[in-house]
Amino acid sequence: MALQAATSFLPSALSARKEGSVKDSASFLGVRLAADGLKLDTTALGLRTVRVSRSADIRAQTAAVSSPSVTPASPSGKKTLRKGTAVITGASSGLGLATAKALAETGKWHVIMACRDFLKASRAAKAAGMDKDSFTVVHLDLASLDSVRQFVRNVRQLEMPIDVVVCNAAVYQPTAKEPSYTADGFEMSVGVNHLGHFLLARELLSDLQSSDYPSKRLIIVGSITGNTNTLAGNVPPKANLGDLRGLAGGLNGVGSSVMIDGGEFDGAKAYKDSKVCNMLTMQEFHRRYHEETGVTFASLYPGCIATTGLFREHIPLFRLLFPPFQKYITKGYVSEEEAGKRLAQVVSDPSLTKSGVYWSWNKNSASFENQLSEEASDADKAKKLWEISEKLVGLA
Amino acid sequence: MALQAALLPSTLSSVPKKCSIAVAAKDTAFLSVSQKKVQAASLSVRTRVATTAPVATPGSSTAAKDGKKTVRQGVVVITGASSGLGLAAAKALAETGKWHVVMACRDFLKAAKAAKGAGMADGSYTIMHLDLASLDSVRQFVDSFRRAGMPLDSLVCNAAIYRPTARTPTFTADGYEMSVGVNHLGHFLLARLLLDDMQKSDYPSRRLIILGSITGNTNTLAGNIPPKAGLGDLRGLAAGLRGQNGSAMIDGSESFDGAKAYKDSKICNMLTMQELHRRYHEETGITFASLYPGCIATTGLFREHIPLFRLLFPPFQKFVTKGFVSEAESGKRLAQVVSDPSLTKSGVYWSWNKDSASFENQLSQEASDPEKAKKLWEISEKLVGLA
Repeated sequence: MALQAATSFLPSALSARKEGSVKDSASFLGVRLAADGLKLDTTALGLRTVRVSRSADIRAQTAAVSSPSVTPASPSGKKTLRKGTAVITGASSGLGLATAKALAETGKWHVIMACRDFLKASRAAKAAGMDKDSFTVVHLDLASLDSVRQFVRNVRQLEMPIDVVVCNAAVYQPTAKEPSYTADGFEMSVGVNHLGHFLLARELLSDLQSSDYPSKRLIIVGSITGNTNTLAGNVPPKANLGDLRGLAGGLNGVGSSVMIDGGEFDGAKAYKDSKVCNMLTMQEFHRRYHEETGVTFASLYPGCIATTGLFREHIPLFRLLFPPFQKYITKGYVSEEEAGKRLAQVVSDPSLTKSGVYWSWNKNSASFENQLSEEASDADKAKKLWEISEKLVGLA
Repeated sequence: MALQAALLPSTLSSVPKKCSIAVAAKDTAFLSVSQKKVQAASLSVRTRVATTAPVATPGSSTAAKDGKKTVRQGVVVITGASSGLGLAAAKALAETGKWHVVMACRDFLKAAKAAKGAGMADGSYTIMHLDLASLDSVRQFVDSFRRAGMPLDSLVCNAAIYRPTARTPTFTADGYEMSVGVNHLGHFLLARLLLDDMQKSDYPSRRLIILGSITGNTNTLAGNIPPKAGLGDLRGLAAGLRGQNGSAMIDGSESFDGAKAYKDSKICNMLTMQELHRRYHEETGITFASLYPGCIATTGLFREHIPLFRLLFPPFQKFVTKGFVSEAESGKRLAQVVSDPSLTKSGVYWSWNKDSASFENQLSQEASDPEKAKKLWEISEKLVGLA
């Protein structure tokens, strides 16, 4: 039991992607034992306490246990935690796919891959070796509020509970000279990265509330570049929401600016601004709903995953030089697998249930609570962002 | 009343305009053009109106019948409606005000922008996601459509992909070769599932339309340009069209040919239409039809062809073969097959002559083969999980 309980502290180590490969259980177990040992050494008392309370939580929840798409059965003598359901946006590549794989591999999660390219997502899941029963692809295009609403209806019809929502999808147009727009007329970066996710999270919050899962979480992926209290955040162009003038004007480029602060269009800045919005939104969710619902709200920066498709629109020279630059100069590079493992930790690790936190990892891959910048911590700005966003997505 | 019922879809303007004067002018030109057809169709129209069922609008339940004999707004699902023929047909139908169009597309944002770009009125269409390269997506689309609470009156299987220069096959999410997987198998499952919904519809004229192509017909010049379509004994299809340890071509040929795969898929479409007619027309009253609107040389269907082809093909079709038709005209023709009371005959492969008059065209021997159609049907059922 102790070993089993300790197991839940860490997601499975990601194996290299091989079809039909057999995991070396000896070394795998060795890794777990070492990790367990480390935990005991550094936080013996804390760990023991956590284990006890976790067990109590699990016991209290057992009566209402059900598996995905099966209605709750009468409680049996077993105290088995049911399989959790996690919705992950942008799960067809990069961080989202690595996270989906990490969670699915544990056997404890069913992943809903919310993607705009259904075929790409289906192929990616197969190529990653995900078990067919561990995931469901459902269409979601965050560039259309209609599509978000349809997704919510479709996901509810699956008759699975929703226990975790991961807002991971993002577009980044660093070299764009002209803005592009969503179906609803918003500038694309903010429309997809922030507004689409804002509507999605608001709609699915009621599903999280009605879930019987012991640890419900809403996770919004952040980015260090949105934080001007870091070196990366000071590389021009710097993020800045100003007084949200452009956002209030609808970001449609007709009679108003496409940038949140009302300035001239800059694709890289639009992305960074959208990430500040993500982090402000996470904190506003925490302030408004954590105490009332018990849902954990968190954001994270997994590290610079220089190999993902996020940079597909950048010039080839950048895509060639950026990974080694991050690996050897800034040392901020992290593999997709490691990043996915970290995000999966935030989804499922019992020690990361604190709400309102912006998680980061150090060089030894240990998680810590990172500080947000002054603007990204501004409560009044978060409230204003929330209210304007409500109007824009049709919730007010 | 007869005149109103017989109205044809409005002539498409090349540039979307919201000016009412332009609309009035359009109506006038339209009336003069369609006068002959109105006279010819008046008798059957009068008969049909008398049988009108209780009225319902999209999204609302059937109301009690009132004294008026107004046909409610029809609901038509059009696959691949984000560009080319599908978009032009969606626009033509929506413009009449008599149809609500469900645009079933795999790129939601592209469809939303295309509908706005075409000037379609907000209430006249709904976009829903459908990726025919995944059978899961087809099933999700059907569930989603049913939950939207609309009746289904017409289904247009229009979407297609064409990979003329491909040396190696690509595969759908379910492992089938892409051209046949999307153009035939995805549509086969969709049509079979939605047939239930069409049977329940109270609309006076329910139609299931599958786009054909003249190049699948080897009784024409176009159909004899190599590579020619040929399904053989359907050996490759029966083996699942998988590249490894089997053929990606329906006839089991070892070498893949992207253009032939497309033509083969079109024969499948036309065989499927006829098999649907044989199995279901008498029982359900649903009209099953196929059509070839003409060579729309400007659509995105040729996007994977070499640039020189895309440059030369439109003028070649326009001035040499004279088979060129504009997207707007082809959309109007497809809209005719959806809604024209004179085109209710089932089992027909419609075509148009140079004066834009419709006629029943002949299919090739292979495309008319009932044994082959039956075999195709049974194999396809297995492949899409219906058997």
